[in-house]
Amino acid sequence: MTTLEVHSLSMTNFKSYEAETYSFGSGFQVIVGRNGMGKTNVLDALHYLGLCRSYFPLRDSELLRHGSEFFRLEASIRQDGRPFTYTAKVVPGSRKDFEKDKNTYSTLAEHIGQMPVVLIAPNDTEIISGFSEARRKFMDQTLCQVDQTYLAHLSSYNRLLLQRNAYLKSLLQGKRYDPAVLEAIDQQLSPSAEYIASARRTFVKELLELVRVNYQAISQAAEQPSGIYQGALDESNWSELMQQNHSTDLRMGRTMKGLHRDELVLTLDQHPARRFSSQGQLKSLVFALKIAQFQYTSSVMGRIPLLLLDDIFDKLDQYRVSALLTFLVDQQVGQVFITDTDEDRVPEALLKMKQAFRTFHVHESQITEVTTG
Amino acid sequence: MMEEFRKKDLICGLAGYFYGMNHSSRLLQEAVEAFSTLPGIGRKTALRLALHLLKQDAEQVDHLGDAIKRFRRDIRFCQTCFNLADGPQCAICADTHRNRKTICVVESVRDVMAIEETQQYRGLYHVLGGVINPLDGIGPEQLHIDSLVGRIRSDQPEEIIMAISPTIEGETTIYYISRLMRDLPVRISTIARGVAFGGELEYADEITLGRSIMSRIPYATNPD
Ligand SMILES: [Zn+2]
Repeated sequence: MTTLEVHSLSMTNFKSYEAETYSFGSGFQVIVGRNGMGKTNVLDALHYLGLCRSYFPLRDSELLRHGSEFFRLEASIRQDGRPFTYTAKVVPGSRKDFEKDKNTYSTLAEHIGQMPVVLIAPNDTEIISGFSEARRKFMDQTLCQVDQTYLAHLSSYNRLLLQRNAYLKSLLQGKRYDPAVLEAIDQQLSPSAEYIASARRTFVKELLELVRVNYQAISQAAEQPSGIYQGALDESNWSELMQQNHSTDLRMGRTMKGLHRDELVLTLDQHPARRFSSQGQLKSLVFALKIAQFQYTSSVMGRIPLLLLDDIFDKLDQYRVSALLTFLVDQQVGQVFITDTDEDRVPEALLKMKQAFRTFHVHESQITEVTTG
Repeated sequence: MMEEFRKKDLICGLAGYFYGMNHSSRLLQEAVEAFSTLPGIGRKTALRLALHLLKQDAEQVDHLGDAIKRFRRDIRFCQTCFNLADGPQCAICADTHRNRKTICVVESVRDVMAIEETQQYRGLYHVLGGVINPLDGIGPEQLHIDSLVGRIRSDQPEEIIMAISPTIEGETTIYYISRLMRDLPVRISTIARGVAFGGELEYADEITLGRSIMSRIPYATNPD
């Protein structure tokens, strides 16, 4: 298992940062400061460098510092024992280039997976309590990072589905129906859909094993988490499914069945977690799920991702914070970035656990190092 | 060094004066505006082109103007392959030395030019005028597909080469056309994927493109 370590991060015109460069060390990087001071933006910059986009539903133009026309992010990292530099140069709406050691990738897809990251944030509870789209996004995000083929199939699938729906819609508007057009689209959709469905099925099986173990360790409760993947291709293949829904699709002017409706049902003691969990259960389950995502990513890639924990200790007492950190340290983690509004609780807990860490204080997008642990 | 900077500043200042809207001549302004409607020509280049014409003989400039006018007015599309032509037939279709047993299907006339540059191909062409792309409102009926099928029925070529960009929309088009020809006695092949996936045919260098056409591969639709 190889590790990935960010030595320095430069942000130019990124969100609240005009032009700043910060250095980091091994192990835990604790970033403290009041809300709205720019802590999360540091984690999001690292996420952007890893996955070519913000963790949050923000467009590139919304990541620009007010009044700027471009932003630039650069991380000097050490990976597999060698130094690398990854750079993102973005002019929202016109250019988006990623570079590895100053060489521009020909497509962004080539970069995804090079610098693996997993970010955990408070609004991840959406994965459990939100609509099924949030769970599909969770599966896709995980699989796209570890599997280039999945990423290629997913983007083909999405593009083809757009074409399919555009064609069906044009028929409602009076265009003459030509079955061979749908056939031409469907014969391409078929292999992508089959690949995605089978990858998701395998992933969910492995994920749930990890979630079960994590949940027990985190919550020390008796209830058992479980789940199941319910997909459009569980009982039929793509062409059968499209044939079954042919007349409905024509009548409605869009594709009614497909992977874009698939669901990952999560349960606690056989009850849908979405409806029946308490706040405490929900928090434990989300954390168990996200750590499982981290473990899965590590084991598939053979490389420990950056772990970015954004404000997840909010409203927890010192005992719970220590317990969660102890759990984390027991996992095989590499470099971990943690943001917190409380200046002392995370450093205190890490000090007691004899973990290497550095503390940074953020005030109005100015970062200063506080202590070295 | 300083001298250089000052000179640049001065030129920039003057250029600002010139390619702003305040030309001393309305004729000059009209010429600049006309040139800058062309792709890749900014106002600065447009001004340079206009001033360059002033240095030339009136006769030379007349010739240029006539060439542009005649090109736009008299250019035709070949009734057989939809390549650019001067009359009802293009020079390629009219050339009796070309191999009439092979038709290369491309998206645009620019692809014909790119393939001709390679000098590796001696057959005929068929220009579709695009690819099937419902998102842009382009279905098979907007493309020259019916005429291709008609050509295959009447001229009975032995082979059709699909030299279409391997994008999602390109693949849809290749499949669609192959599907229509399923029962026709013609061999269908696609160009080998030396052309980068998702890359436009036009940008492939000549050697890759030439090799792609030579090492084309048979294309099969689903056997159902
Ligand atoms: Zn012709």
